[in-house]
Amino acid sequence: MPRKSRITLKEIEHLAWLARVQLTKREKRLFKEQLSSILEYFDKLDEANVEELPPTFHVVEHYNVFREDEPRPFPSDIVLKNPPKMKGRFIKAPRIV
Amino acid sequence: MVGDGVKIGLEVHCQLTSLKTKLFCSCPTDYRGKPPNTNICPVCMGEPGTLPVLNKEAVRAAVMVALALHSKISRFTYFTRKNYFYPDMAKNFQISQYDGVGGAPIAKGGYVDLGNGKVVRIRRLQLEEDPARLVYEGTIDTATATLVDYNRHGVALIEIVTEPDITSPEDARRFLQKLRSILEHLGVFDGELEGSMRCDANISLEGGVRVEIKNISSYKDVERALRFEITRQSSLISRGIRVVRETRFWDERRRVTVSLRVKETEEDYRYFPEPDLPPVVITDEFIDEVKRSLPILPDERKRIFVEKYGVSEQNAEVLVNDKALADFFEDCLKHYGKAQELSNLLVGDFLAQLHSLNLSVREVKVKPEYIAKLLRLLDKKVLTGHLAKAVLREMLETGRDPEAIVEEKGLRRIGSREELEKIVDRVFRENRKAVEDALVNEKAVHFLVGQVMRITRGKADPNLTRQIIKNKLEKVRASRKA
Ligand SMILES: [Zn+2]
Repeated sequence: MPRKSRITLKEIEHLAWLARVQLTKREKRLFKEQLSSILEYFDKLDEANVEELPPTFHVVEHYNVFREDEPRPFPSDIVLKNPPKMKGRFIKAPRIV
Repeated sequence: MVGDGVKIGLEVHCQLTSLKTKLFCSCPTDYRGKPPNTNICPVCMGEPGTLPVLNKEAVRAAVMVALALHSKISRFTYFTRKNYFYPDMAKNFQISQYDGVGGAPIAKGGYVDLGNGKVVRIRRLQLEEDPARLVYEGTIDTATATLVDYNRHGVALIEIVTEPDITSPEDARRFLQKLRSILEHLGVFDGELEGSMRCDANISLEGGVRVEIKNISSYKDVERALRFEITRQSSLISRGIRVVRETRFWDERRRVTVSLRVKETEEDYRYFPEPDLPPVVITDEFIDEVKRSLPILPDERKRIFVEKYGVSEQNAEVLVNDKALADFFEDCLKHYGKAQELSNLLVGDFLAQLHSLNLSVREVKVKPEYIAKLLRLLDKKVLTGHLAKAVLREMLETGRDPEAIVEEKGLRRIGSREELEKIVDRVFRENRKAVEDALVNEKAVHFLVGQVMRITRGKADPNLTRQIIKNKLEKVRASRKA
């Protein structure tokens, strides 16, 4: 199969923006190559005839795994050890708007 | 004309407030009034290695809502990740459901009857997580940081999306009220809790494009935001400026919508089936079981009010649109049998006064027996309509017995002819000019009646007063002819 680039530089930049990461020129080119080859691999999967098959959402056939509606409070102070920045009991995040 | 060809669709998010725990973890939902980040755990905070597990009662509640809205319940449904980077979600994605290709929200279709001859079709229902509350240091424009409280994050929301069938801001509000009443009848939702219902709206005018409005958080604001948008769009159209398709933000404080530059498109959310949650199969048996447990709903209740109690359609609709009001009506009915008179009082003066006191029906301290007593005082003509209003006000403010209020404040109707004649004599003496007017002009009689009311502070029987004044005017005329 001829090698074609499946993803454009513009799409890489958009994805980086969605993920809120900054990429160097070199990284953009690298990821463009890598993601393109991943997408090419999907072409191979597309060749399989799955017309009659229902979509697979899970590899294991589990259904209806439920939990009873009974509160079990967790000690929040343990969880609050993780955020990098706090202000009082608030978790501090960068300004977003 | 302004308001012609308006098409409105709503996307309503209601917390399933009856649930004791969040949608996917065992954190309690009683976060209101608690310090920030109290009701959190490693699951809802999206820490590595944790697994969400679906709250069983959330599925039951969603099936109840679907049945009440006449929706078609999916026998096979699953959750979807909606990916976006924003601190209101600790995991960088929201566990939601998806209505697009391959998606299977918990229910589709259905409708809500607005009771005014209009029906709003439902597009879909889905379960999803409530985002966190964001607080800005300083104002939203100048803030340097965002402070996040994850207490609310992960609470179960049911999202109800309508077709663009709503044709006016009033009907949008009516829809929300009816929806609230339905959900409150089901017992899965409490609309009185702050922030329990929020909605987004989309609106287009004849020949225009669809504009989305986000961040509407009250029943009143839905009407305000949509009114603002209709005025804004029609003013653009009348000046020959094209309305652009965009997302706008309702600024509650300034009461305007402002353009939001949203760069994400639907596919940017990269929806995919949630790998941590197995799909849900809803069986016919389960649906039947839920169906059997459904309580009475507003439309059926309205039918009973009309057919069994003899309440007018119009009053019945107002009563059932507020569950607390319908309940109060039935409580009062046990003490006072004239249903139509009772409903007139409740949907009339009672609601009007609650509105002006800024109270909800549930905050009312008046015992149903006292409403019955008030109506009997009117029946026995101890009170005039005017006095009854004053007594009702006092009852709403203090919760006291109307008879005690009447006694203490001397608010009895003055129905004695002798007593009223004395007062009318005085009014005639003090208002000679007005008496001359009244002799030739029927309308000036009102003024004299008004003077009697002023002196008696509204206690005079209005019919008797009018009759006495007319007799007296007649006598004056006769004496002048003689
Ligand atoms: Zn949790």
